[in-house]
Order: sequence, then C-alpha cells, then structure tokens
Amino acid sequence: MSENPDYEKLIDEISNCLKNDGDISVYKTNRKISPLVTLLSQLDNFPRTAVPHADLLRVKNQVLDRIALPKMEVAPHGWFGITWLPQAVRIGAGALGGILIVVSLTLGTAVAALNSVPGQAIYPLKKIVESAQLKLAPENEKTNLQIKFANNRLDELQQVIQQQQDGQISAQEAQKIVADTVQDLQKSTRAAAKAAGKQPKAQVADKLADLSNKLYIASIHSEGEVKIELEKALQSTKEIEKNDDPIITDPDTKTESATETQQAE
Amino acid sequence: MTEEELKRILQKAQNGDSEAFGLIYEHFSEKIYRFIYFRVSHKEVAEDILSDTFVKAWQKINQINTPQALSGWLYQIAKNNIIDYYRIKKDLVPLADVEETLEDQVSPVDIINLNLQQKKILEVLSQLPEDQREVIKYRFFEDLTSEEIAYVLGKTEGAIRVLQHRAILKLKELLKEK
Repeated sequence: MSENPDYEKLIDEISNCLKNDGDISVYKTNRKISPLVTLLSQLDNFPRTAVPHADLLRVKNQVLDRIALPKMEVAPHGWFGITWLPQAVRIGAGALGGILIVVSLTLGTAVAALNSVPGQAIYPLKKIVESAQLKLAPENEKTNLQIKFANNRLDELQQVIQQQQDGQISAQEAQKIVADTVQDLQKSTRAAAKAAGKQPKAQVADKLADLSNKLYIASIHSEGEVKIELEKALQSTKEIEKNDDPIITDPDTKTESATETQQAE
Repeated sequence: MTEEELKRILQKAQNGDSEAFGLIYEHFSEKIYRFIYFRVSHKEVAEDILSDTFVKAWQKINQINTPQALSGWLYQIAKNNIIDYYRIKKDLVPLADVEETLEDQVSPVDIINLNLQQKKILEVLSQLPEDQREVIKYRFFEDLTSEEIAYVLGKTEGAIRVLQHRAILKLKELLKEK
C-alpha cells in the first residue's frame, strides 16, 4: 500500500524526466521540492562502472543452438484428387503421395522425438537423429556436436528428476533411466574430448567445466540412487576435464564406463 | 520495441517459435548481461550465465502471462543462476550467506569519479536499512524498474515503491544532518 501516493508519484515523475533528459527546471523552481530534485539528480548522475562488451551474438547463437530443433522441410502436398489426369499418372501420383505422407510422418515424428525424454516410446528415434547428425557433420564440428548431445542428456536428466519429484514416475524407474542416460552422457563427453583434436584445449575444457557445474547442480536437487548416479557422472566428467580419464588416455581401451573397466581389471 | 510488439513476440515464443525468442533475447540480453556482470566480475562467466538464463527462460516461457512481467522474470532467473554459480564455487555454502554477501559486493558505480556530493550520498546510503539500500542501488545505479526490482527481491511492486519512497526521505534527512 502506498504511504504517500502523491510524493511517490512526484519521485517517479522527476526520475522519469531525468532518465529521458527532460527539463527539470520546473521542479527546481519549487523551493519545497528542490532538495528532492537535487538528490534525485545526483543519484541519476552517478558515474557507472565500465562493463566489457559481451559477445551477445555468440551467446544468442549458443542459446538458439541449445533450444532449437533442426529445420526439416516437408515435401509439398497437393497431388491428390487430380481426376483429369490419365489413370497411370494418377496411380503414380497416388504412390508418390503415399511415399510423401510416410516421409512427412517420419520427419514429423523425428521432430517430435527431439523433444522426448528417456522412458518415452519415441525417445530411441532421438538418438537415431543425433547419430545421423554426427555422421553428417564435418570433422571440425564433431566436438561441439558431442558437447551439445551431452547437454541434451543433462536436460533430459533434469526433466526425469522433475518427473520423479512430481510423482509421474517411480524412484526405481527414475534410477534406471538416470543410470542409462548418465552412461550416454559419459560416452558423449569422452567422444567430445577425443574429437577435440585441433580445437583449443581451453575452449573444450571450459565447455566440460560448464557440464560439470550443471551436473553438480542436478545432483544437489536429487536424492537417493539418482543422486549417486549423478555423482558418478560428475566424477567421470571431472576426470575427462583434467585429462585423467583412463579410457581416453589409453587409446587401445574400448569406449565403456570407467567402472566397467575397473571391474574387468 | 512497443508493448504490443513484445506481446505478439512473446505469444509466438510461447508457441515454440525460436526466432521470436531470439528477438526477446536481443531486446533484453544487454541489460541482463550487465546485471550478471556486476555480480560475477568476469566477462566469460557472465556470458555463460546469460546463456543459461535464456535457455531456462525458454524452457519455462509458458509461466509468463504478460510481457510486462517478462523483464523482471528474466532478472529473477539470472539471479538464481548467479547464486547457483557461487554455490558451486564455494562448495555448499548456505544459500542465505551467498545471497547476503553477493549484493554487498556489487559495485555498478565508478567510485573513483564521484563528485563530493555523490561521495556523501554513498556514505549515507550505507546507513540505510538493507532493503531500502538495495532498492536505491537497483533503481538508480542499475536502472531497474520497480516491477523488475519486485521480481528480483521477491516483493510486490507496491512494497518496492514504499521502500523507495522511505529510502529517499531517509537519504534527504541524513544528508541534511551532514
């Protein structure tokens, strides 16, 4: 509730006037409010700390990259019901239309799959789409793509934890899904580190550090078996960051979890 | 961008249009970045937190009902991300401690280039109660609106206006005594 609405309104008026470089002399002539005007003027004119320019465009692209789905073009429709065409052509058009419908449904389903989380029926299609993206990507883009997939696994983990907290899935289900997703996350991070090649180490290390931070936050918000799985993933990511991961440092080692490697030994 | 345009773009973004969300990013990113930078003092870290802020905003964009609330809501997400960043850095520091020390370290004002009157204002500002001091800093040193401050501090806009009013009256009194 306002204590003195007129006074508050006056403060707002004068502040807005100052912000818009308006003429405050009309307020200054009023002896009663002149000290207020002076104070607000001084507050408005405080010199500000210089802030280094951010690379906002790079960050924007990063944000859009993290949230966007790949654009897929749907084959045009419109071949059906053209009855004046000769029968052979109509049959051909019908077959082509059928193929186009299947392609559209598949692409549409693929697009829907990219929003899915582990546990959903359509989720395996998401992994297939990601594999296809990886195969088609140029060598110098594979590191970034693997890190993007690792981030996807992290987002999925957060959603699964949320589902468990909302009671949509049981703790047992959540633990199984988290364990599988963590394995995939570890595979992606290792692959990213291996594929880094010519990319500056600091850049890759920064991205891995970012992943570690997010894993840490996710582990804070979880509990029980899920928390344990996330902490394992965090440990593994930190090892990869520091280049201590036994699977990466030994090129003859097959890509599998560090735990499995230790157990085998 | 007018309010109508923002409303239209927000609706598009809520329907899944990432290009529209890109426009929202362009409109708000600069000031959100500044807000973050003052609290982490590192350009790359601020950029990362900015990125996380907008990704989280995209994930929860349907929570926002009006374009007027969008700005304040973004500040709130940014603040929470900054707190998470410090919690990780300082290894499980209690949340209250992080929030407390965080705002004390914020320095959006260039202390070296203050005039005499401004130095006095800064001195008496430290004598205000914490909530009044924060409102003044947000309002005048970081150019946040009352609505934005309300989101950041978790109070109503009315409460913020009252705090601002009291803070300015108190500042006037203290400066008179000086």
